[in-house]
Amino acid sequence: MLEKAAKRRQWHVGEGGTRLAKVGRRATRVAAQNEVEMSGRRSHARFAVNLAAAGTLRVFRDVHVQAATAQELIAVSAEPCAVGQRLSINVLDDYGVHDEPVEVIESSPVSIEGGIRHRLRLRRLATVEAQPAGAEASA
Amino acid sequence: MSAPLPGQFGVLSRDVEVRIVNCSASGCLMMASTPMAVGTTGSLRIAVEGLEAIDAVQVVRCQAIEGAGHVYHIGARFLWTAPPRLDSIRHVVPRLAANPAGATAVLSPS
Repeated sequence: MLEKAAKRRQWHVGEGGTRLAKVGRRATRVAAQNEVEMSGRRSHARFAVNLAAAGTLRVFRDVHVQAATAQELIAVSAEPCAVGQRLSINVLDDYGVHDEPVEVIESSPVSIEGGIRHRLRLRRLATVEAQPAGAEASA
Repeated sequence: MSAPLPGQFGVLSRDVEVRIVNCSASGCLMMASTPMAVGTTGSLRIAVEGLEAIDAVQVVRCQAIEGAGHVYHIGARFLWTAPPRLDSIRHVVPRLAANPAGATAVLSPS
């Protein structure tokens, strides 16, 4: 069984059935107790973490604000958004950074200068609060 | 001035909940319910021993887990966008290596 899997995945099988990952011309023992099996391509050991370990990956994208009302923002993005998705929009100007939660209520493709962009209608979920530069220092 | 003005550039940020599967000094493997385009950059924030650790990452692989529904394995590498900091996720890895017996316990649930 192990030999068959090793043949399929190009492992070497060591004594006692220990799997050895193939690394070019040499094989590296990878069956360390707390170490995840390595394919041999990586230069650093990997360590398994508790599967309950949760994290948050925050990803960003540029948008161009086309119109703004008290309730909505119209922005143009290079990528579409899912309707109902809750995002945060940050706008930087001379007065500070505006950080505001928004919800996508419409995402439609538009042609701009020969390219496809996406027009996003965003519902403003909270009142925009200006954060003047140096406000924290003075507080 | 209290709101974005038409013509301004802005940044939309989206938070994606992930589960950390494993990590090394160079990157980590996560599970998420939404796919990520390869090349996407962002900041990964996890709770480590009661403290928040954060690092800039770039998605290098995204693969659906067969038979698991909308669950994806996302491989990401750490980016050096700032000098090393104590709250860097990479700072935790040497501690993991120094304490292999507790490798699965050092990263606690948030």
